[in-house]
Amino acid sequence: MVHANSFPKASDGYFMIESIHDPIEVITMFGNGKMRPIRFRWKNKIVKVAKVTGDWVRHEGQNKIHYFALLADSSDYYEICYNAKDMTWQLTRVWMEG
Amino acid sequence: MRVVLHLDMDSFFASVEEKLNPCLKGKPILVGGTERRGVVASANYAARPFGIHAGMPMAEAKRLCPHAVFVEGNPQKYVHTSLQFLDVLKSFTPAVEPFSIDEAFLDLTQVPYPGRPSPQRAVKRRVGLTATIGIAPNKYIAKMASGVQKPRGLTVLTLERYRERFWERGVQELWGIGEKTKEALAKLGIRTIGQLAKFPREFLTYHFGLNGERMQEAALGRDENPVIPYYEGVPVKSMGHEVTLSEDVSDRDALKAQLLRLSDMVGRRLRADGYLGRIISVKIRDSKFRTTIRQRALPEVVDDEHEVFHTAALLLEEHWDGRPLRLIGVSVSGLVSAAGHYQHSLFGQDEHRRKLLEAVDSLRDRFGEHSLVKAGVLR
Repeated sequence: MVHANSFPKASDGYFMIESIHDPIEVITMFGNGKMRPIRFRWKNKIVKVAKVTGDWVRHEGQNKIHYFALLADSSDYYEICYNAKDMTWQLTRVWMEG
Repeated sequence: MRVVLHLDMDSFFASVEEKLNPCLKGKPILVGGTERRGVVASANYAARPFGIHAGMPMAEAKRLCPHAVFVEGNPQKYVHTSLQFLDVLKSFTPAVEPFSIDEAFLDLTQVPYPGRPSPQRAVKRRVGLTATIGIAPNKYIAKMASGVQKPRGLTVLTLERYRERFWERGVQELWGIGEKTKEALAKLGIRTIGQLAKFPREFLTYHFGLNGERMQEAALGRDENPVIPYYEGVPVKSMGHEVTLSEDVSDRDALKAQLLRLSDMVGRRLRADGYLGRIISVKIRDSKFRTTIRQRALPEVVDDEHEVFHTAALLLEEHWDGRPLRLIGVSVSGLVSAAGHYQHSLFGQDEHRRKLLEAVDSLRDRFGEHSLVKAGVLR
């Protein structure tokens, strides 16, 4: 049951892209001045990247955080980011069908 | 005759989300604030048959279309895509004026057009998003033309066609005329754009001042404003920030803490972009959506958030009757370039304050906006 004023959650049966801030490990390919995530590990699950559908950058002072929108082999959608300052990767959003 | 093109990206934020996540294709998508009081910033065309439109509270949109996909807005993502489509437009002419994150004007008067792909097609091919285009002899008619047929529309209007198409329509269809102005015009017996165009100008000026003249020029389809190329920069008229509060607030100190945070953001932007401003405005909206805007002119131009906050807090004290507020905002207008304005205060207290602000700005430039926060905001 969803409270009238609350925002819908996937668990309530609504479609929603969930915001997550989990650390992940990423295998990345560097070339032509760009980086491209190939696969990543999230909660002991390996996700193989089928397609990078977009990328963008967020500035935090002089630091840059690089974001990637990804489609997995499973057709699930992920957004991950690389923090250049501390060289860490994070899963920020996920959309899973079904 | 000039040839001006107005390009408006179709349901921009929602389309960006759909492009990045092809799983969303065909589904109703709502982009906006996902907190309880958030509003819809963008809804794609699959969501519109449900009566959903931008500006609607998310809770209402959820009620109208519970199976829609809700996506929290991400400004960096949209700015990145906006720069991409502007790059495409610059390949047609350097006379590109970015008008908002998802709109731009192009002056194509000097551009040999036949044989070239349309900007619409070029944006679709290179950015993967659709846009609607209006082409006309000036910016105002071009903007009106792009609103005729959406999405993926292309409308060409001459001055005569503009008058044929719009003069029978209600004044609220004019770009820039809202509900209050519509009501004020109705009191003068003006209901259609044609009536506004033919109304004696002196009466309009008497009732609406300079704005009356501007409204009539719009109704007539006259606009001499040039397309200002992106490299010249459009003069900034004001800078402001506002926030929809997560719940209605009637606590004075909590509202002042919000004013302090917003003033801090405004001051930071003024200094970063090299502006000073003289007019401080406060905007408040109560739980019944009644909006009040009050402003005060300072004796001198400022870019210090302390001055902005001091005046904003006074305006709040004077014009807020204690009713719970759902939105509060601060803006500074009457802007002038900051160049040369600091010379009069090279010594004394002003100089100490200036050095402090420079140090704070320098730290934030290096470590991010949240690296330093005013204690008064933390409540």
